[in-house]
Amino acid sequence: MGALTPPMIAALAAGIWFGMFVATQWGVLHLLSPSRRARVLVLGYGGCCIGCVITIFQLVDVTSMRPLSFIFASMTAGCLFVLYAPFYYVVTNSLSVQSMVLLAEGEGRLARKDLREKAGGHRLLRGRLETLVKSGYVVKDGAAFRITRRGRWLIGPFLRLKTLWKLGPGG
Amino acid sequence: MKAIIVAALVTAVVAGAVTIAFRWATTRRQAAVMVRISLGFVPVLVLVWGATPDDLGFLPPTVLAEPQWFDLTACLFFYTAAFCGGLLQLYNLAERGLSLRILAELRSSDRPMTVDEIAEGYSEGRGLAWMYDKRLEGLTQHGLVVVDGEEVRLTARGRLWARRFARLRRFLRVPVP
Repeated sequence: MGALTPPMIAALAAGIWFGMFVATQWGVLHLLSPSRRARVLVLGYGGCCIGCVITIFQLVDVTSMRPLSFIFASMTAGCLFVLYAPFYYVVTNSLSVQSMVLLAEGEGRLARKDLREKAGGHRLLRGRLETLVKSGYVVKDGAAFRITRRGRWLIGPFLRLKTLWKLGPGG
Repeated sequence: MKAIIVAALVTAVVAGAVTIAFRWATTRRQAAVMVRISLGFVPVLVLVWGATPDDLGFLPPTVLAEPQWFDLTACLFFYTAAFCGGLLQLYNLAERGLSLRILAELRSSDRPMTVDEIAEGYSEGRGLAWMYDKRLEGLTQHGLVVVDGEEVRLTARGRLWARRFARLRRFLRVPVP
């Protein structure tokens, strides 16, 4: 192993496996264009974590150093994920990015009203509601929508944080 | 382990400092305030890491990471991730999250809501148009677009970034908005 200590091997393994996860995720999205994109993210990351655990078992042969190696690998993989996920969602879901892309497609300029309707209109709201229904946070009730217990459970901590930080309604 | 413990403790202090700043100082650029606070605590993090013993007085030898430079680098990385991927994202979601705001509207209503009602009542009655104008204002502040009367134009910088994002989105087969 040379000068590499077990925690360094673990961090390196986590980094390499994370790189493979991103490459696989992008490859799958490009080639297969699946409808459940979040599932590709979660399954890909899960696979990366399993691969990382196996790699550490094989490379770190000092049993007493394995717990520290696993801690460093999980921290590295977890940190890389929390840094990567916002970047991915900015590219794919951000309203601001969508608006810029729409403007670029409209030769760099669009009427404010058209842009708002295309990027931030009722269609956007319907799309988000559909996603919330699919995820089980909201249910359809005739033509209307109702929050589920799971949705209440999700929004609760955020509302408390908004109160703590005095953020106002936002959105 | 020292890297993880020190990074976690300093992040907790940063969260406390952000809370104090948000509760007692009114500012429009809250994300910038958060970033400044986080950067201000980087020297504190390095000082705490340097001034404390390797085992922090209680850690067993099997959980001490070596060499020293690696432990400090890991500490800085964990701190960066905890702030950028943790605190800052929490703020973004709480302050700007569209789906979370929809959930908040539905939670505050005592009956099911239609799409039109959600759009009208969005953000305590400000409406969906207000939300979109806020996004446009953000793009304008960052010099990415110019709003000229009823027309919105990309700036040269905006055009550059729009092309990059468009290429990425095409590669990832993101449906056209």
